[in-house]
Amino acid sequence: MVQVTCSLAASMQEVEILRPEGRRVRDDRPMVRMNVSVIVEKAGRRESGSAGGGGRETVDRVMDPAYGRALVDEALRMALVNLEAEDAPAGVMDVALGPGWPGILLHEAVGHGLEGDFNRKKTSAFAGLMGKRVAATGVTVIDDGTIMDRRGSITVDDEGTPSARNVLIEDGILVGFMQDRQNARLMGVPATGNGRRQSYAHPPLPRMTNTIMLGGTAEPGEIVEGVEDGIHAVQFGGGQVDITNGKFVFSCTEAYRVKNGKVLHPVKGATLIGDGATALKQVKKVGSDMKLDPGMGMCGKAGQWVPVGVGQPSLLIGGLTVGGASTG
Amino acid sequence: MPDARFRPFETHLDEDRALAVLREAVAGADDGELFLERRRSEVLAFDDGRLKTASYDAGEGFGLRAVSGEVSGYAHSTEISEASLRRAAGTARLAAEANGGAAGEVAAAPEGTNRRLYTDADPLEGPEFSSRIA
Repeated sequence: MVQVTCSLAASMQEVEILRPEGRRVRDDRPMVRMNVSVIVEKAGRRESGSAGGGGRETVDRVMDPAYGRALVDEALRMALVNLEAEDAPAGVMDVALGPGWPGILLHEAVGHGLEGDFNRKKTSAFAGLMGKRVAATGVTVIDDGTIMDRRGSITVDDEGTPSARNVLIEDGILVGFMQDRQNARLMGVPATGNGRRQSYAHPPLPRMTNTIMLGGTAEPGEIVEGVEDGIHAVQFGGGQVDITNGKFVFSCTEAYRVKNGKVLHPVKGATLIGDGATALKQVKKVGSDMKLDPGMGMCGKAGQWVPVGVGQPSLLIGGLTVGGASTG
Repeated sequence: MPDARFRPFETHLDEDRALAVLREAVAGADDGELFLERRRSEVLAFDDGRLKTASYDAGEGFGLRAVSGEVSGYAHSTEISEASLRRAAGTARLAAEANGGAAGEVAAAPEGTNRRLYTDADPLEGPEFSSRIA
């Protein structure tokens, strides 16, 4: 082990909203996050691993030594896996996604396209598709700002609207967008409690809270077994999306090569490339193991950053483009 | 310990007068609000078990908005005072004027809630956080 770095961040945001009709709304929003990064070296090769977590809470839970130890163990495990990793394959193939944080792909590739402003202006790949099939049967996506203590939760949004559990896609059918007050009014629908801002210096925009794909019926084991020739992506680093066409690029920080349902070896440098609308229709299996992420997401839009949560079960998606260095 | 909460309508502004300024700012507009905020944050970073950096940041301010159709006027300041609010209202008002000043239908207020989704205890308070440095 070469280096271990750890950070502990705590903050308190206190908000008062005064509305023209005279109502005053207050929200006190604590936030805690702990992060651990580990760098390991073996025979001149260096690899890293990281883990983090937190939520809207006091520091008590993350200050428990067992919590920090679990993060170090997880970061170290990931770093050691990466020491053994081979170059990732390249091409169009099946991808099994692990539960939890990989939901960030859903957030980027699908969530942003379901924000009201992009749909009112018809710049989203989902504009005009309300009531239509946009995902495979069994795919249900919600945005839920009401989950206790979660990083993306808000009692009220930054316009004073109570947060809600909003169903966006129900069994594959597009049923709702996320709205702030202005876009809701212009589209003739109710505000959904998604009007958020980075700070007093920023006007509110439709933003996600905790964006989640609900669990399905497949046993988690059959998801990876369902991969004939592809990869199992367990953890993600950063990603980007172009909202106008839903095209995304994600880099995997922990992934494995899978052939005929058998996990072969870890791979490094794998990126996933695709577009949200197509990927949703290529979901072949939805696991029963829905998991929320440990609480570490930040989402940027129009230069404004807000804390968010994601969640998803294990998923089997067919025909994603994997970018890797291996030509074999 | 004294109540160290952010209470702008006790320490910075008179609520009735702030409301009057807000109503002037949104007159003729569909919607708008006064958003007041204080944020404090602390970060401790450790390298191989030793404290490497410690930082603390605090800030407060308000944002005043008037929305008319697709137009919105927004002004913000770190100075929470009635004078500052009046200057901001002058800018925010431009939204309603830019949109013809025609009084549209005023948007219905959001519903209220008494829910608590997380603690209101301040994670920066209490001995636990600073004891980490020792």
